[in-house]
Amino acid sequence: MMRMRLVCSDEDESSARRWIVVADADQDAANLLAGYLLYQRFRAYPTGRGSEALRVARVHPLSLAVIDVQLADMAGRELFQRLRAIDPALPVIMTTADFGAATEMDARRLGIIQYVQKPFDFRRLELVARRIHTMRSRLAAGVTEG
Amino acid sequence: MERARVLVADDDADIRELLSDALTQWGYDVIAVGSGREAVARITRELFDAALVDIWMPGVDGLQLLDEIKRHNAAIDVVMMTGDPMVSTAVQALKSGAYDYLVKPLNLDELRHLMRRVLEKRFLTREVSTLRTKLGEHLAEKELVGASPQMARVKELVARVAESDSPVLVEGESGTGKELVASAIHRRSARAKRPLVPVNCGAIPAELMESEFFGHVKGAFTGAVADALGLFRSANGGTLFLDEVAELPQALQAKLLRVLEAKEIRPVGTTKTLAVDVRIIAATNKDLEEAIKSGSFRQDLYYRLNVVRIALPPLRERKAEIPALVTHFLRQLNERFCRDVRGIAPDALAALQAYDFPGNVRELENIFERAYALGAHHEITLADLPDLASTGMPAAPATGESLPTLDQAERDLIAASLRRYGKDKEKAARALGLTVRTFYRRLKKFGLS
Ligand SMILES: Nc1ncnc2c1ncn2[C@@H]1O[C@H](COP(=O)(O)OP(=O)(O)OP(=O)(O)O)[C@@H](O)[C@H]1O
Repeated sequence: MMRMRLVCSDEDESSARRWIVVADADQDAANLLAGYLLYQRFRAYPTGRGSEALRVARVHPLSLAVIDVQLADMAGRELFQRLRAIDPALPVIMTTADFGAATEMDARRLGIIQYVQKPFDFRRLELVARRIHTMRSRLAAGVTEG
Repeated sequence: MERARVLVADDDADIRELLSDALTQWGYDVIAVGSGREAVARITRELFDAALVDIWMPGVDGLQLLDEIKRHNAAIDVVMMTGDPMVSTAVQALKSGAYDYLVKPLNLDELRHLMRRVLEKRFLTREVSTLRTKLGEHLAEKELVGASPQMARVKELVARVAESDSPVLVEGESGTGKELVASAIHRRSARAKRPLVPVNCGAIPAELMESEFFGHVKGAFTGAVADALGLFRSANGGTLFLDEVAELPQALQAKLLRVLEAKEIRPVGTTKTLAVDVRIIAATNKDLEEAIKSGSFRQDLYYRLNVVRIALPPLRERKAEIPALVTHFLRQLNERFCRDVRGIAPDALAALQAYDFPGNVRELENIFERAYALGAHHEITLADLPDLASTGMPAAPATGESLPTLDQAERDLIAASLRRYGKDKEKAARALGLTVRTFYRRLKKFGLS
């Protein structure tokens, strides 16, 4: 027989149920990072296409998006803007293998929370993901207290 | 009101019973079957809104069933249940079009929220965000609304500090418009043509702060595969907006202070310093003076940041602002959704004004947006604010009973899309993220063609 909790709370948007999308034209890079995050017990979804990331974002609240500056079907900044139109508070990490100063400045103007050069330092990304999740649970706790 | 129909497919009789009981209690119509084959038979004969499917079933298994369901009617949202949290199966299910998955042992809270989200907001969120995405880019610069004496003072200060180049500290509870004020100052300042770089200090792990702020040179640490500018140099000539500045760890506070005094930074991994010209606007929803007393914020940094201080009062202290804000949001929403909701009923406005808004303007915006999306009338009524109307607290999303029907909202969105795209049904369908076939079906259903 299954164990079930019968008490119901209203913490709908708890970070545990939120998704992290990882979008990168380099599908292998996306898979690798998402796999790593899944292994760390985050709910991660890899994709090479911005349109697919948007589809996910439309049905699932996201906790974080990791976006490469170049996707298979659009630029990373376009996905950023479209994801922010869905959730104006969504934290975004921008990744790139293009190390130009202009690329970085463009990305930072968007209001990202981290700029990461490839190949990834996974631990760095994981730290950011953890930070976001703690922040959100603290926020959720604050709201219920308030 | 029509109840949502949910198909449960699981070979475990205990689970079927449990799910039937729970879902029935939450107001859904439930059909529970014990095999994939029965489930397939059901979906070809009957209409369902959602399905809860066990991944491991003898015969037709969950993933096959998922394919069958999606082939039959892609609009049915399928939630997979899995006994082992095998990531690959779960991702495979999602890639094949499942809405989400639940790991057994099931957590009923989770299930309840998930079902609520699937069924109540399914249509709306999807279409609303499609439209929002489509039209969002054309939205005008966000405007600072408000004519109360407090807000008049804020606007005056904004205009005044925009002309100067001094640091600004914006204080106010969450959602009071601090970021809006920062961007208004930047846009009106001499730096307007240069970048405004926003950063949420609370979101950066302490270990990574230094390189985020000051950049690094290649090889400074693992992962530093090339030089990076960091926030300061990216904002050079412009404005750096430090949101949630109280979250800065002590070590970085000290470094930041030095940067503000010397106007130069030192990237991680080098001894060379570089000059930067950046205006700082900081924001906080915490009381920094308290933080100084408790020792978590440096007093000297506080003095550096707090040259001009703009305090945004919480919305509950300027409730007179609510009608103007509501009108503002209404105008934006009408524009965004090509609808013509004319106003808000007096009792609905009264309910808004009686509420405290711990989440301030952002919460008002959210509540109002939700009412707008669900309402689909000529005006927003009290019934569109179920949370406020019933308990005075908008904590939980409303339950099915108290809402206007999804049909109505759906009809409205479809009508709006038709109005916008005229004869081009394909475009109208696409704007809503629907297939042309589904679109035509809906047109017929609502008698809109
Ligand atoms: N005076 C106002 N007029 C119009 N819109 C407003 C006003 N104040 C706030 N808003 C809207 O409310 C939302 C929250 O504003 P903003 O992000 O500036 O708040 P904040 O104080 O920075 O919040 P946080 O502390 O949570 O970051 C935004 O969508 C903003 O457009």
